[in-house]
Amino acid sequence: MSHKELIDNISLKMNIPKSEVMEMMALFTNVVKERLSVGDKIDFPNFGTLQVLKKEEKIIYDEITKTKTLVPPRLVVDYQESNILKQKINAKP
Amino acid sequence: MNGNENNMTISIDDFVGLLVKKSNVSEQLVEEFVKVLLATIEDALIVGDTVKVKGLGEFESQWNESKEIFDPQTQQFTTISGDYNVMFRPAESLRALINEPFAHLEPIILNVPNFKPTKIGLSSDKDTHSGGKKDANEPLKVFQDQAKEIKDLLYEIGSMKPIAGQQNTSSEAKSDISNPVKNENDKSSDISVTKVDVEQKATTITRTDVVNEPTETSISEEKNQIKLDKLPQQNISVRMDLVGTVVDDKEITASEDDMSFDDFDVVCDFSKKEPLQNDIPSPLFTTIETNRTDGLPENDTLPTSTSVSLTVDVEKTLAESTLSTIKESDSIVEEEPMETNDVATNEVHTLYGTEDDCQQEEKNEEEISILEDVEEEIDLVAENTGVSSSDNFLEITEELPPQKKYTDEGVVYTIDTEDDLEASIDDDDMIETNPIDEQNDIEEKENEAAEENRKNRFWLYYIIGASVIFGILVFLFSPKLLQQMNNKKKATKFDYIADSVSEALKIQQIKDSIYELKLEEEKEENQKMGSDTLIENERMDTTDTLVPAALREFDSTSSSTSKEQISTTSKNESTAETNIFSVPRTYDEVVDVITFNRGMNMSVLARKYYGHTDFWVYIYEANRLAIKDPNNIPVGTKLKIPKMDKRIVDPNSKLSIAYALELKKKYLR
Repeated sequence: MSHKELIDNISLKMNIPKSEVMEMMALFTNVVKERLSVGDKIDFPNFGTLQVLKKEEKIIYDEITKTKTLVPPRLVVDYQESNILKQKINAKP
Repeated sequence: MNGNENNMTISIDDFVGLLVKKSNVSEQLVEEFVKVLLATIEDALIVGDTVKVKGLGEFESQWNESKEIFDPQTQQFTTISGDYNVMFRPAESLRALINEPFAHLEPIILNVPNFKPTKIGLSSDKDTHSGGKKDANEPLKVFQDQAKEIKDLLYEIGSMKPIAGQQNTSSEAKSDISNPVKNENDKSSDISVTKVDVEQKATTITRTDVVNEPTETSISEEKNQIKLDKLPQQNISVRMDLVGTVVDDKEITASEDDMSFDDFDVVCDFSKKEPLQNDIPSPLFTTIETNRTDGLPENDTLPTSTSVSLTVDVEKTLAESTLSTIKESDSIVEEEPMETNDVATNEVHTLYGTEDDCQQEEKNEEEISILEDVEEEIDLVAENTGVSSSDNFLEITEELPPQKKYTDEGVVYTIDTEDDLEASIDDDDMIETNPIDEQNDIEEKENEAAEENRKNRFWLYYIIGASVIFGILVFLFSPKLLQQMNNKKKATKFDYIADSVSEALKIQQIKDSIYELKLEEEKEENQKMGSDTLIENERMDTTDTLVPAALREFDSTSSSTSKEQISTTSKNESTAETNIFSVPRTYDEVVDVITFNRGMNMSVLARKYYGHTDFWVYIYEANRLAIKDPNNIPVGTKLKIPKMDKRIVDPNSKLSIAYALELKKKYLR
């Protein structure tokens, strides 16, 4: 499902014009980005949590080139689905 | 940003509150929106679809395969069934935003490869000037390998002359040069033999002498006493080599006297005492390295090859010294060494005589001087061994002159260098000074080289002249050739295009036009029913018969002649084509007016009204003002369906379809 289709679906379900839905979606993503960039953890009930995790620096050894590379630390977005969602997904026939 | 203490979990209510703050929408609506959004994503995930949220990322349900896990407590394998898992793949923008604090960091390649020194002992010592640095400096490895190869080459080149001279002389020397592995075995066997011999014949004294003798110190002492240069020492060492080898051969072949065995043993002992690291000393190097006898104990820093050769030479000198001692003690029979020496000298004469015939006369003169030198040298040796007997000297001197013949070059060299005794104390590289023989050789070689150079130059001039002439020819004839080439290319291109595209179309057009002309003329005939029409009919029949024949020819052979025929025939019919198609179309009459809706197509309309989809171009022509882009007609535009001539819009006529296609190409450009 693409972004467009998602907006179409939401507009159908909520009976509001797509433009409004698009605005709301933009706002939603902005807030999520803002909160995540600050380092907050966003919890959507029955859906999952979005949070930022720090991957520590590490040394990778390449067997082929016989070289070691120091990979710097980085921050990544992690999504953990809720158990309810997982059950729902796995309950499908 | 990363402050974990400031991090907090935002619940859905807080999130909605934030949304409401930033927008002017009611809280209810925002709440509903969030719920609906999450629900739709959920639904899509349940169905197995991926949901892409712009600016955020992609949610995807992923199947995890079932796997077996071994439980060490229960000692059993437990299978975990596969399940679906929701995976979130953040968008690039989000990823960049989140990782902003570490964005400036880049992976660094650490140049600390795990170096494993594979070569140990012999090989490692061989390769490097400094073995310790080798491990640390990997790039040097390449140079070391190259150096090794060069060394081997030098050794091979250098080994040619001496080995030729000493083919029959020294078995051990050969084995040392050829394979060091064998040497070890030989040496081990020799050791046992020598031990036995030593025990039997009480030559331990000689051995102890040899062992205890400081080889280099003795030589240095010699220097101090007699002011001998290093170069004479070289000669000594070289002679020693020869003596040792000859003696070895003697004893190996004859094996009659105890003395001979003892000598052999002594030589073997030296070889034993050498560390196994000693590489095959190249004969080239032996002469060079004898110079460095002074610095023997410091040879760890020097290249291994030099050190090895040094040790060998020194040992051989020692061997001779022991020889002398043994001879003193046991009162050797002089005949045997003399015989062997004679044999050796004969060999040497045969070998060297071919090379330097003129120098044989000089040898005799040299031998006299050599005898004197040898006496001095023997004195030195005797001093080292602690023996001073004039009788023995005589014995040895008798032996030595023939030995000198082995080292013709060396002898001459000593004569030259003895003049510079004091001057060349520190110059170890004086070996490079060429003797007279070598000078002559060099002159000859130079002459040969000059001749070769002349020949080479002649060839060079010849080649250059030929190339210049060739270049001029090419320059002169190249424009013509280029023109020819271009003409060929054009011709080929033209043929290809004509064959591929235009011919097929033309054939179809011609066929159709003929068919249409026929129809027209039939109509005219029906209308007029005159006598003149009969004549025309006959004419037409003739043309009809002619044209298919031409067409057949054209089909069969797409040659230029057939093309000409077609062009001539088609000219007759082209008037009819132009009558139909070249007339400017006026779309005054309109069959229908249609408002363009979704799902509509001009081609569909064309099929509906004209019977073929390709005739949409006429609709487009009629509505050029209303339609900007034929592929993208806005909904609601009113399209006029023009009334067209049936000959132009004939779905059965290939000509009209071809014309429509041409128009289509024109408009869709």
